[in-house]
Amino acid sequence: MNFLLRYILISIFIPGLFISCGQAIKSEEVASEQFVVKDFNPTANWKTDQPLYLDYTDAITRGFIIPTARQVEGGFFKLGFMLKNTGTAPQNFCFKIYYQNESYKFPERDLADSTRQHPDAWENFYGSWEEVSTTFAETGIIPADGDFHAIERSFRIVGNPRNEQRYYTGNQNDRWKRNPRVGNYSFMLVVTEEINVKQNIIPQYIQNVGMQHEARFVNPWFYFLYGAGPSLKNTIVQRSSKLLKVIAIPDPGAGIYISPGAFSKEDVDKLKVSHCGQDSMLYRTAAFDQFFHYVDPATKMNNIPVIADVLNGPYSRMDYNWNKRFYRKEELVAVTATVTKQPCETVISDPAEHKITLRNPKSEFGKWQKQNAGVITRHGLTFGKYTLKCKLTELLNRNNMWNGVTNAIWLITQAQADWNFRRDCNNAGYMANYYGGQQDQRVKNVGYSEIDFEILKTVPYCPSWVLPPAYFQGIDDQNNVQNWNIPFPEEILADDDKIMVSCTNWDMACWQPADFTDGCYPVHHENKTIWAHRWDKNYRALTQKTPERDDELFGSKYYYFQIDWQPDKIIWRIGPEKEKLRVVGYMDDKVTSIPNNQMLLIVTQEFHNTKWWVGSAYSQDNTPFPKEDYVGEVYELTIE
Amino acid sequence: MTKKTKRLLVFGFLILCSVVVLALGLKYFPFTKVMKMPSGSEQVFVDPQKIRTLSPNTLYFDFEVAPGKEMPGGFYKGLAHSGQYSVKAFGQNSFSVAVERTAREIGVQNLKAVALSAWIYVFPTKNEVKGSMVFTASNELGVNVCWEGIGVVEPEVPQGKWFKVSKYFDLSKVQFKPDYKIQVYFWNNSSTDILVDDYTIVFGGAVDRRGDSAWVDMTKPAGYTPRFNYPPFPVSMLEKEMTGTRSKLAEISPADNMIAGNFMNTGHDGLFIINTHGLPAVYAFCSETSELRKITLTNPSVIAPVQRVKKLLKGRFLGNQSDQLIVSGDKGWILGTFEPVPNPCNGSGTQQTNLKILWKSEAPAPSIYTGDFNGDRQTEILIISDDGSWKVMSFDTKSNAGGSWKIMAEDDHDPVKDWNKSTQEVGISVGRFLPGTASDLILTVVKRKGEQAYSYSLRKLNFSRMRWDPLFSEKQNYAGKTIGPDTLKPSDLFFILSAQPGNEAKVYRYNRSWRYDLKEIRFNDTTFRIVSDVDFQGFDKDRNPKYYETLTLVPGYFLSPSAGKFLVIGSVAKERHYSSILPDFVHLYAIPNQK
Repeated sequence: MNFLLRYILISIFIPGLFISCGQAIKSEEVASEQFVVKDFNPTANWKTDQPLYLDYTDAITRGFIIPTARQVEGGFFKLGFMLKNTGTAPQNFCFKIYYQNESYKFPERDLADSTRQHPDAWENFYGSWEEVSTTFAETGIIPADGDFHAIERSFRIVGNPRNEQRYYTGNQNDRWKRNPRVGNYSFMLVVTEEINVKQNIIPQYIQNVGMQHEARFVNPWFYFLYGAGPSLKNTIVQRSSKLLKVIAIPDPGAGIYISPGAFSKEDVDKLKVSHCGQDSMLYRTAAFDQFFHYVDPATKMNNIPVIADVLNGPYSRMDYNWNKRFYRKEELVAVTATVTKQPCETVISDPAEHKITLRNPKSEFGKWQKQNAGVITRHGLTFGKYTLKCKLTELLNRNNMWNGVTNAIWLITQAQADWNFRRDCNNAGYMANYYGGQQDQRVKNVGYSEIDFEILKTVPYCPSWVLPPAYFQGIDDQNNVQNWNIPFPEEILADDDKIMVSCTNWDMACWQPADFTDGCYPVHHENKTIWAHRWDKNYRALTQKTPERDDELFGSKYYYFQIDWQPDKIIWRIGPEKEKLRVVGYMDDKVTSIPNNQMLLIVTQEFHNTKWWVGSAYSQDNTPFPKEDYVGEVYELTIE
Repeated sequence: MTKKTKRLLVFGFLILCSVVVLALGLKYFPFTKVMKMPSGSEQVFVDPQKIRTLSPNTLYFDFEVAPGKEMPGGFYKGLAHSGQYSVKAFGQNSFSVAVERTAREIGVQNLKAVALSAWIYVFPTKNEVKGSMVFTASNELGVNVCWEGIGVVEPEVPQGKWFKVSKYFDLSKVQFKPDYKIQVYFWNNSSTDILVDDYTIVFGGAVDRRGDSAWVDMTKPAGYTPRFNYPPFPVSMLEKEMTGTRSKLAEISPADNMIAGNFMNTGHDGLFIINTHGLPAVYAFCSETSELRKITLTNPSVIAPVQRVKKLLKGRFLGNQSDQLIVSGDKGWILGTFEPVPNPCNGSGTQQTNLKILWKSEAPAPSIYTGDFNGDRQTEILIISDDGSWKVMSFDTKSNAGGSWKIMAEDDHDPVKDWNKSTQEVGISVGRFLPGTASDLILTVVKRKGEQAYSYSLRKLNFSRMRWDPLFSEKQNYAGKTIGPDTLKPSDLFFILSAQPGNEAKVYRYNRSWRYDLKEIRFNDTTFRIVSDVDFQGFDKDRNPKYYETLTLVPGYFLSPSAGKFLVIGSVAKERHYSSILPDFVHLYAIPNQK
């Protein structure tokens, strides 16, 4: 073999071997006046490019820990680098590891003034040693012998890395209240002379990430990369090219926990349902709770007394029209949507198939019900790309008649407590309450946040000249079928086989975004125009709607729904495969206040009062009670 | 205050007033009075075909000019959302053709709301597009009292393609008077050229359901507590039976007079019909193929002497297994029997029968009913006069020629008050309304003139005392109690059928006064109980019989002498053009088995 060929083969295979074996990519040699650093590897005991899946065991109480003892021996990353003392005397050096979530962060620098920290960069998820009071670690005395010395230490990524008091309960650091974010983590090693630490030349609020400066946290990444850090003497800042990818995959087959707030232990223990309940094992390991809707009494409606298998039967528009005209009020059944009276009855976790089944139970004569069903994740996260693979119930039958169900995949605030407040709204404030009216007071902070996919049969709200459609009005004249069997307007029929994918961000009417407004207006994203709608300036939510074929979303084996919640934007995508997603909603911080608190994901099949969906062609109260269960299945949730 | 300050204040006030007046004027000034708006006779541009099929309280204009007619001013040819013509609003402050009506024409009661829609086409332009589809109302003086518009304003107004605009306006705050003028038009307020087509104007808003309020409230902790005879009721289903294709359905209409009976001694029921033209027809029901087969009646003129036919009745007057027919008409009534057709379903050829007249009246009967009133399994007739006097007769074959009617019982100058038609509306039905009775009973439903209430009674013939004994107690004034909102009415039809041998006969009440309303009911010694609402299943597509404008139910034992079915015949008026949606039909529906 000639030299050239050997060279080519070696060039191809040797790096490949390193990469495939998961060896760390080593950092370059960087020198200061007094020392040289090389081979910085923040996670020597973790294979490069191997994603880390969040360990849900006990995360409910301890928060997510990266890594856990189940993932690496000892439960800590091994940080390592080589240091050579190039000075004239032996020295003790100081070093510190910083990590930061890169996927969901604000840029460190202010876009308008790069010498200043971005006003929201302090929100980024960054940290260092778990004990914030351990400022810089020491290398020990390194002789000036011209040799590199290996330095090692361990660390891990935990919730509330700045030990902020807002996440404490008494003396207990509830790290789960500020869980590590998913996505890519980068690592920064700072090695410096002792004097810079001891004499606080590196400010204390940088040495200790838990300390604030002028009542604000200072992001050490800003400090060391763009602030005063680069001018520090004898300080080497090394950024590892190695990124740690963190993914959460809450297992639908890991059981369903029933929160004591919803049902007492005695009630739950009576059930003896496997993989669903209130026992301590499920408390430690289950990724989902059963979700119990709050039912607003104002959604009470008088429903037709018809029980029908809308999805599988021949239910038609003529049935709908007849039912609308020819039942007397006295024959109607006053109902609201309900929630189950028995836990674990309508949600089933299957550990073999790793799926959750949702069932809106059927009605019987005398037991008329439109019962919601759903599950909610138990571990809050801030930001992330939530991708749900599921087959939720179909919404339209072969005659394109709606069964009254709204399939919803939504994020909701984990708690409306102080610790989970959104960032300040500095223009008039947020509307204080989710359920408040127009006259609700405005406040600087709220804990409420919600980001929705709500998929149901309704109409677009935009442009402004399309709402509502001009519906024909029937009368109860049995002697002329044309008087009661009224056609829908053509624009409704044009979307007959479609359901509306409604994407909503509940920004609580914070007026701070530069382009905040009401009414209908186009939002442009990647050559696509998506109309956004807000009823008025005090309306708490901004919605975008896209009609999609019911058969495609809920008639196929499964479908993907993704909420890509980023610090400055939210993107809603759907598609038949994870690699084939398309955008159906886009909002950024120019038009809406993007939440930054911790949220949970909910998957529900629910019955909405269509009065809240103005202009809908079909009304919930004129939609039959289900004769058969409406079944949905959740196969996979990935948060990355 | 100095003079100068005063002047400034006055000036400021005048400026303010001018701004307000200008702002209001833009909206409420009757431009249509001072601007020349194109107009034309609506007859010219309304497609009468579409008008016929419009929903109630709807106006629609497609602006199509009838062939050979001159194109009216304001029209545009060659670019339209539908057809060839649209109307134009070209240039700043231009108006499209306006649709005008007075409030009287629309009906003041229909002006609580209006929904508008139209299709808009903006010719490609670089100018800002601004316009409104306008609804205005002006009073007798021409002053606008209402102005509502669907704004078509930037951004993103489509250009070079048709798009729809629509909106709903609540007009409940406007006090309309009959002479107020209503106009609908498009106002172009920009230097652009705009076409408009296909106006749709729906007046009145959503129509509320009948009734008061729901009785069942599932939001209460107790949930549903059944309340005797109060809705909602369970629903039982009449199941469609397969029917063959050879039935000549077009010959049968629900408007025909028809009766099912074992007329040809086939062992199960066939059908006798007198259609709306007075022509009789006989059908056998072929159980193997589940279809009606027409049997040629060789002497159709035999019923001519009693025409026009008002009522068909059947009975086993001769004591054999087959039914005889009574045809009662304006000029008299006849009793006849059909020549037996032993195997009407055999072969493909046409079979025939004739109707042998057994007896013929000299005069029309006041009201005639048939039943087995003494329980001897032979049918009698009950003839009731308008004053409530009555007589029960059996057919005596032993007497002269073909036989004669023999009086078995009659009132002794003591007519039944409930049957007096001079003072009340009366509905009389015959059958075994109470379980376990050996003879037929009379159900009488009355509504006394000038009263709102209905009452009903059940009576049984007491042969020995020659009177119809009421079955409800004196305590109830001999009338059945009505509990709940469902009231029996004189116009109700009552059917009694068994699903299969051994099943208790079911009593059905059919009412069409407002809607299709078929209920299974059960009488007892006090009242009647509503067992269920009765609906249909098994029909094609969404052709539920209850949606038909005319629906006749003919009870009978068509497939076997013990399995009761309904022959259901439905039609929709031809002018609806609904033949592809709800085609006329004749189908057999089985009643559900007893559980």
